[in-house]
Amino acid sequence: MVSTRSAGKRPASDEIAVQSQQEAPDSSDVDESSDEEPIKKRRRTRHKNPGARTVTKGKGRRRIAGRLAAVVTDMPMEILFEIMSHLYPLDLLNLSYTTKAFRNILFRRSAATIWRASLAQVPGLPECPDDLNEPQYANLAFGNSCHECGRRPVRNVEWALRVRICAGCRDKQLVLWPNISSTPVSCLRLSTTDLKQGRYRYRPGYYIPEVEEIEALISNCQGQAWTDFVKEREAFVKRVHEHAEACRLWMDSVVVERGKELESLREKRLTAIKKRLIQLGWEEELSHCTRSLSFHELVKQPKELTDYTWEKIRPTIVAWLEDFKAERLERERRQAREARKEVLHRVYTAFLVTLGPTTLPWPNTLRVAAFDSFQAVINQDTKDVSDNIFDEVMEGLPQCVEAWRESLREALVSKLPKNDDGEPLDLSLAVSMFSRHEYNAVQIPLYYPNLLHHVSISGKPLRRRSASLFYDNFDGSADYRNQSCQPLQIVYDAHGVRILRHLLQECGLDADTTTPEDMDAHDARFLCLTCFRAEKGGPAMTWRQAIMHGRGWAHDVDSCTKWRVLTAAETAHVLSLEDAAEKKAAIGNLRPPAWWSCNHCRASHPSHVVYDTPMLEQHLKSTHAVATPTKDVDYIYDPSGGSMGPFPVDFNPLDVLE
Amino acid sequence: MVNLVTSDNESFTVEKAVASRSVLIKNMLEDVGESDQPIPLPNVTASVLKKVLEYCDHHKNEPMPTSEDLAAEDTRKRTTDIGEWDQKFIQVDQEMLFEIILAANYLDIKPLLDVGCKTVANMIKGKTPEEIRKLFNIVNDFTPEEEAQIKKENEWAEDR
Repeated sequence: MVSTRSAGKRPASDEIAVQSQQEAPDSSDVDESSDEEPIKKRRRTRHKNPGARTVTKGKGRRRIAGRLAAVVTDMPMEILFEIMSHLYPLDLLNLSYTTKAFRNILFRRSAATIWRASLAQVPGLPECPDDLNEPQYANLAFGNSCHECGRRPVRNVEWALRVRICAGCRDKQLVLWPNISSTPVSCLRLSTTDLKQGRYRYRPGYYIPEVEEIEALISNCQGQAWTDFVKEREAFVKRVHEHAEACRLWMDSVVVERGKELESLREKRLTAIKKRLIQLGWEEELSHCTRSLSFHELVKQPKELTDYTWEKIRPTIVAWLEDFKAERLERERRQAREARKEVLHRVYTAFLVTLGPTTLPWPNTLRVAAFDSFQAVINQDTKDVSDNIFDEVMEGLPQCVEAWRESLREALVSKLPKNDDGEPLDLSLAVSMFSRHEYNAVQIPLYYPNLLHHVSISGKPLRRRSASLFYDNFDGSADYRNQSCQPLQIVYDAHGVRILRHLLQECGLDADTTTPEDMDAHDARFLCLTCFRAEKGGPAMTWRQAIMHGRGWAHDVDSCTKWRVLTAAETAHVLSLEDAAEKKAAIGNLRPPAWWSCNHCRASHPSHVVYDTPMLEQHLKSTHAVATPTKDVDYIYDPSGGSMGPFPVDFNPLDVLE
Repeated sequence: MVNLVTSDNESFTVEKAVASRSVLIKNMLEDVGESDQPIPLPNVTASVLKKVLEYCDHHKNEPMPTSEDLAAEDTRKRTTDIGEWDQKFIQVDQEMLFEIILAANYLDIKPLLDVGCKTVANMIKGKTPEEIRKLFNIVNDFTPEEEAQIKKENEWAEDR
C-alpha cells in the first residue's frame, strides 16, 4: 500500500500522477518516447499486487519496488532536494524527463543549488559558464542526443558552440567560410572539432545560426555602437574559447579515465574467473592460456562476475579450455616431432660427412625420417629432443639405406615390361629406360642405378636447416619448391625406347644384350632425317641426345624410325664440330657433357653442387686454390647431374663428300 | 534509560546514549532534564522506531556530527558511498525505506537521513526516464510533442 500523509504535502500542481494500484501498469500504457533507449533488463516476475513488484536482488534479498511514488508525492521538499543533490547531472536530466512534476521541480531557479551540487560531483568538470544555466550545461556535457535533430546517441560536443551535434547536422550547420559582410570573424565562435578543407587539410568551422544572428545584429549598429558591440563580442568569444578548451581537455581525460576503469573491470573479471577455474583444477592450463582467455568474448566484458553470471558462463569457458588444452598438447607434440627431425638432420648430416666423396645414392633427411625405426623415435610421445636420441637407430642406418635402395630397385623393375618369357627386362640394359612422369619435365633418359640420385627418389638435398621441410603437416605437392620430392614419379620410357630400338638396329647392336655403357662406348652419331633438308643438312648427335631430340615438336611416332647412323668419316667430322662447339660453350651450360662435384666441399658438407668442367675449374681455383685439379682427388663424377653428352651439331653430309 | 512511546502506543526503553543520536530527543531531554516521563513520538510507528533504534544502537559510540561537519560536507564533493553495515541495514522494502527517511528527518538523525537519501539516489542513478517511472510507479504525463520539446528546451521555468 502506498502510504499517504496529509502533513507536509506539496501543492496539487506538483503532484506526481501515481498509478492506481487497481489500474495495473500496462506496458501499452507506458508512453515511451520513440527515441527512448531500449531497456535491457532481465525480465522480472510480477507480484500478485500489480502496483508493487518484487525484485530479487542478490542472494535472498527482496525489495518491494513501485512504492516509492510516495517519496515524490509526500516527501518534504528539503528531503527530495537532499536526494536529488546526490544524483549525477544525467540522472537529474532523466528525472526531469519522467513527469511534469519533476520537470517543474528541477527547472525552477530554486533548484539551481541541486544542479550545482550535482555538477560539483563530477571530478574535473569546468565550472558552468555564464552563458548557460546549469541544466543547459548538464545537457551539453552529459546529454546524449543531437541538439539539432534529436538523434541519439551522439558523442560529439561542440563545446564553444554550446551544442551536442550529430555528424549529419554538423555538416549542415557548420561552414568554413561564413557568409558575412559587416561582421569581423573575431566576433564568431569556432567549432571545437575540425571540418575537412580539401583533401588533407582540416580546420574549425563557424556555426551558421550564430553567423546569421550576429550578422543581423551587427548590421544594425553604427559608429561607437558597432565598436562597443564588437569589443564586447570579442571578449565573449575569447572567454567561450577558453572554457571550451578546458571542457575538451576534461572530456579527453574522462575518456582516458573511462578506458582505465573498463580495463580495471576487465582485469578484475579475468582474475575472478581465473580464481574460479583454479578451484575447478585448471591452474596448470591457465599458465598457458591467460592471454588467450582474456580475449574470450565472455571474459573480456567490463562487468563484475557474480555467482549467477559464473554459473551461466562456466560450461562455455570450460569447454573452451578443454579445446585449448587439446590444441596445446597437439601443438607441443608437433613441435617436439619437428625438433627431433631437426636433431636427425644434424646427426645424419654429420654421418654423411664421414662417408667422404661417394657416388652411391643416399636419401635426404626426410626420407630417412620416414624409415620405420626413425619414425618411431620421432613420433615418441615425450618432449625429449636431446642429440643422442637417434644413437641407437643410427647404428642400423646402413642396413636401412640398403633396404631402401633394394626396395627402389624392385619398384623400378616392377615398372618394366615383361619379355617373351614373362620375365621383366634386365635393369642394366639400354632398353630399360625411364623418364620423369611430371608434366613439363626435361625428359632425360634415366638408367639404374644413377637414377637413384634423382631428387624424385633420394629427395631434394637439404642445404640449410630447411625449416619448412620439417613441418609436420608438410605436403610436398603444396610447396612448389618440393614438387619433385614425390618419390618414384619415374616411369618406363616407352617412347624413348622406340627410338632407341631403331638406333640399336642402325648400329647393328642387339637390344637384348646392349647396355647404356655399350652404347656410350660405341660412340656413334645419328642424323635426324625428320629435320634433314637436302641443301642444308640436319642435326647430328649422340644416342642420348637423339632420344631427347626425338621427343621434340614435329617428331611424331613415325619419326622414331627416321634416323641414320653416320659413317666413320661423317662421325669424325661431327666430332670435330662438337669439339669446336664445346670450346665456344658459355660457363653454366645447361647440358654439358659431364657433371662434377667438388671433393673439398663434400668433405665439410654432404650436400653438393654439380659443376660442368669450366665452372668446376673456376670453383677449385678460386675457393680451394687448386690450379691443376685431379679427378677423384679434387673432384668426382657426379651421377646426380644426369650427363647428356655433347650438344647436337648442324651437319651436312655434303661437307664430308667435299 | 529513556522511555519512548510510538504513534501506535508501543513503548521502547533505551539507553540515553542511543536515544540521543536523535537531535530532537536529545534536545527534549536537555529541556526537561532527568525525568521518568515517557517521550511521545506521534509521527513514528513501532516497526519504524525499532529499525531506527537498531541504527542508533549500532552508531551510539560515534561522535555526533557538528554543525561544522555538516557545512563542510556541502562544500566538498558529495559521495553516495554507504558503509557496509549501513548498506545491509537499509536493505528493506521501499515502504520501510520511505518511513525510515521520514522518521530520520522528524527525529533529526542526519547520518540516517543521509543513508536513506543516498540509497534512494543510488536506486535512481543510471536509469532511463522510463526505468525511473517504473521504479516510482508513476505515469508519463507528457504528450510526445511535449516530450520532444522538453529535451530541446532547458531554460528555467521563470525564463520561458
